Amino acid sequence: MTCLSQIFRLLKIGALWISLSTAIVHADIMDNYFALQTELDDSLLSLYSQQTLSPSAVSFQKFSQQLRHPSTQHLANQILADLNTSPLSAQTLGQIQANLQHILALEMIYAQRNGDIPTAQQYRALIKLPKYANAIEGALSLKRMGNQTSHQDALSQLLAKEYLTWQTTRIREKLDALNRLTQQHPTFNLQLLQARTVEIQTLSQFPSELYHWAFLKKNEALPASSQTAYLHFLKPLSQTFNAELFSEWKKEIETSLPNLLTADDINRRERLLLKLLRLIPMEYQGGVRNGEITVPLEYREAETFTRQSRQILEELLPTWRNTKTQALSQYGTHLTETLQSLENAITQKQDPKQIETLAKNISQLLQKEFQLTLLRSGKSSDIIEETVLEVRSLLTQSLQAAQAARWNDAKNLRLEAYTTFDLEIEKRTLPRDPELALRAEHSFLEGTPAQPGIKAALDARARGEALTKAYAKTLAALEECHALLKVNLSPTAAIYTTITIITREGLEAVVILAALLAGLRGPANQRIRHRVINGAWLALGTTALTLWLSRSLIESLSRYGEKLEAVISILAVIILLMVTNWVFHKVYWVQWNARLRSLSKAVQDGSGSSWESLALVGVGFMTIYREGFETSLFLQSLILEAGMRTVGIGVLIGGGIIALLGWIVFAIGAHLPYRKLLVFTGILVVSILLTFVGSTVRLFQTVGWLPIHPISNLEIPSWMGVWLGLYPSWEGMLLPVVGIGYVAAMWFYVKITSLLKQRKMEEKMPRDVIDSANSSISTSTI
Amino acid sequence: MKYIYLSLILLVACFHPIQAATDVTSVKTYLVDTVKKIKTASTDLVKNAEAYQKIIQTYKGNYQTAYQKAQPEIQKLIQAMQDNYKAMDSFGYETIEAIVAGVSTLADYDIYLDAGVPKADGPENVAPVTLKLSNGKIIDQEGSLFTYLIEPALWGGNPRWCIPLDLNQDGKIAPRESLPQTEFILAVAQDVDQKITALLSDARAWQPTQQDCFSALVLMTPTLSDYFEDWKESRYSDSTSGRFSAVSRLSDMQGIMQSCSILYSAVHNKITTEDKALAKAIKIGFDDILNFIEKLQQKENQGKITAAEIDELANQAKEKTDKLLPQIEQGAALLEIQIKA
Repeated sequence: MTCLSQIFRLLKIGALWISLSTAIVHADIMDNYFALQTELDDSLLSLYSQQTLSPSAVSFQKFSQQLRHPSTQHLANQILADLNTSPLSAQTLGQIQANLQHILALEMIYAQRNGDIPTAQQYRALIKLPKYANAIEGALSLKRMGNQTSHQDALSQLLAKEYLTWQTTRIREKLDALNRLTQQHPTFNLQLLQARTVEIQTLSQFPSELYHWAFLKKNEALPASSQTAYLHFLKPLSQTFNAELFSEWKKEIETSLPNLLTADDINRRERLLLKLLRLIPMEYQGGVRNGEITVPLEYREAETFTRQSRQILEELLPTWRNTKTQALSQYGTHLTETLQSLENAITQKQDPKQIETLAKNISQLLQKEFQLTLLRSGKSSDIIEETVLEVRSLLTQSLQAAQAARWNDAKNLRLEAYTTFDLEIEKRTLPRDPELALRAEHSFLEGTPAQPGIKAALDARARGEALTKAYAKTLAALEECHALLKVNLSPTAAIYTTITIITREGLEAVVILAALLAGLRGPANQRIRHRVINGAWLALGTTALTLWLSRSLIESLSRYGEKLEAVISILAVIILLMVTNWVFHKVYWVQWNARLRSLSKAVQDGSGSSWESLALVGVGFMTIYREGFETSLFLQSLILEAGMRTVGIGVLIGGGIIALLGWIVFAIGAHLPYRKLLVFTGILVVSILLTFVGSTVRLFQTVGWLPIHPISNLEIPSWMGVWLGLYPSWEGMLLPVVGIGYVAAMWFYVKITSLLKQRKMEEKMPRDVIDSANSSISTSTI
Repeated sequence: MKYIYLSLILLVACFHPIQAATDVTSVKTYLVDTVKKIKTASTDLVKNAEAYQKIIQTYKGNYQTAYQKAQPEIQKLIQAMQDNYKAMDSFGYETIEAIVAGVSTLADYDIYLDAGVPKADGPENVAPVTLKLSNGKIIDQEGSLFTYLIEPALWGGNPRWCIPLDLNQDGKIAPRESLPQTEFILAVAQDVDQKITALLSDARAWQPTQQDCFSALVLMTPTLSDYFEDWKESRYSDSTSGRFSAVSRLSDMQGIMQSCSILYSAVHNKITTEDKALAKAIKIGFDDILNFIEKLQQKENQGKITAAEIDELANQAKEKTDKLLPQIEQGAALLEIQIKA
């Protein structure tokens, strides 16, 4: 018994010593590493303050005693040899910094493969990480699967890939920082540059074991490794810095980095690049005015987006060397140079137009020559699924940002979600169910009084339930759109939808045009009538051309679809204001003419001035093309889904209905007395003007050219928005009223001026003639 | 037997938590205690601002005459108000900023007191500070109380809040040579006192959780690298914004690090149970940054720093701070704690 208890005691002592020594070893790995790292940091600093303070070999020896992997011994010996060299150069320090990282990675995986998870965790915890590195998966896997031999290879692969990803990101960041240093602070220290150069170069030379564990064949993952540009750049660096050689070396490094992107990653990055290029000018415009930063956050966003764009481009370049070889050799330099110019222009706070042009040029180059597109490829149903998923994810991120009071991020994410929705989902929903499409769109913007939209909620810095409800509403609308688009469009439904679109969009244009033509009756107006008709035919032709070009033109224009619509709409409003003026002018001149005809038949109709003719040609064109352009956008997405033939049938039927309606309006107009007809026309024009102003305000708000201030407690059904241009925002309600104010003012002005002119002429005429004329007019016109 | 004792002692020493055992309630205690100290300072600021106004009013609002006749009293009060400010902000609020800004129920105080910008720099993060001065003037959303209003007023950083005066009577008025406007300084003092009272009440009502601590850490830790970036830029070219005059930016960095460190200490032991190495690395990471800031302060005190040193220091700071966020996220994931958005 005594013997047994002695054995038991001895075993306990043994177990305690084992755990104690393990704990000490663990503590030593981390403590020794931190001590060594501190010495390295201090040595670099001392070098730059013209002192010489070298890390002691003792610290490294302590650290290296625990190294187990055979390959790390070689690296450790190299470091030890370097540390024993005096004085230690900046280059050597840079090299040691990078090699230490590789040692940590090799030891981590070696420990993991030997089932020593605590040691693997220690080495892993020491590895330097980029700021937003994703390290969660590795931590969880080490904890959960670390001791399962069946998962050993998979875990090694995960850890190796993680390490390669982290260090690749760090290399890019360091290259970027070096680039900025040489550009922004020309008095940089050459020693510092040497240290960083060697560190980056060494870091990019990943040990082959890491590729092996990550299951990446080194030769396939990257082109043959070369150090030519590195040596060319480094050799004269102790004397001078050569920007061209730096650029060559940078390119060589980027080429040598492993391609860790999957096809899906590449696709997402390509689309993100285009989206960022679209956002950069928008942010910049909001942040800089006359060369001064007006909104620092917006400016910083523009800077960040540009930097991100370059980083994404650098990530994509290695894959493009295989997939877009020709485009890259032809336009690669131009692309990177233009992006550099954009970055410089932003740093120099140049004119926003310049920024827009540069961003647009890059975007066009990417789309035209590198075949990048924001539109997804593949089956329509897959595209919809993917887009809905992306919009949902962006909205969730936006909500999270808003809840964390990161309002700027929340707004950017909302904008990205909206542009993604607009491009693929709204475009497809609109022809099928405009009410739903607009409701969903509203929910991204100002929403309704009962439920403010996301933009309104973010503008108001809403919190809690108010904020989450705004997002919930949009997500629900998105789901509705998703459900609608899941159902394939039958030919009958496509024809019906086309007829609805043509009728809806054409009605306004035809009513106003027919009314005007009816008002221009008589041989005296023949010339003007012809001009209006010519304008209308021209618009129809342009619409047909727009539709014909839609596959190529609208795809490239789709980014600007709403902006173009907004511009066309504002032109239409201007033309309509001119026409309103003209109608009033006409009403009073008609009355006056009637008097004159009764008096002396001496004065002729005052119409026919050049601006009127131009305005009427414009009206013919604008009233048709305003709707024609919109119709082209709608029909394009229908053609994508139902085919040209089906949509063509719908266009013919819809066109027929519109022609009939036009004829009816024209016929009614022709039977009305001339002055009554003008009054009728005037009312129509004014009402359409109000609709135009309302919908134009809405478009301006949609593209961000006007703010949105929702009117609480005012609910307006969506159909009133579609047909009457009524939307519940202060701008949307007040600006049409301003339009009415203008019309009323013009009405009074024309009335007063014509009355004054009448009086002047009447003063020159005998009293009895005037009385007789008045009595004849009153009997004939009332 | 003595080997067993020795082993046990060493074992205890090795596995003993790095810091005294703390939990989330200690964060609340720290927060409330610090806000109480800030409150004392803000109450004093009101008193001193009232006394200052009284002196100026005695001379019918003539600052020049008042300064000539009551220079020692005015200088003493200005010094006292500057000390109140430092106690409130630099050595007070900055040491709890990561907690206030990082906890969603308290985050609005950060915008109001410290981080909010003027409406001209908006629309993001505009401080909703609107003050009605006793002379009828309205200060409408001109920025946060500490950064844009009180500090520039007390150190002459913004001429709109000050009366330029030839204080040293050398025949010219140098930049920042001024006295704070009495109506303005009293109004901001009263407002900050009210806001601190409200913060104290909300801090007392706060029920801290581990999720709160992790969420605040995830939100606030990345800001450290921005601080270092700001420091680097300001070392390359001295800022003339009129702000950040009271104490060095490094002191603010130290403050925010301290509050991040307090937050971390509340979750350290929990992480240790899941991944000892990770917990230790984060702990050492925070300590390392605090030491690093001290090193920076020493360098600044020594005087000249070369451009290469600035860049290297900023580079080292970036490496130290960048690492922390992913590590904290790993800790939260291991504990299955969802980071609050």
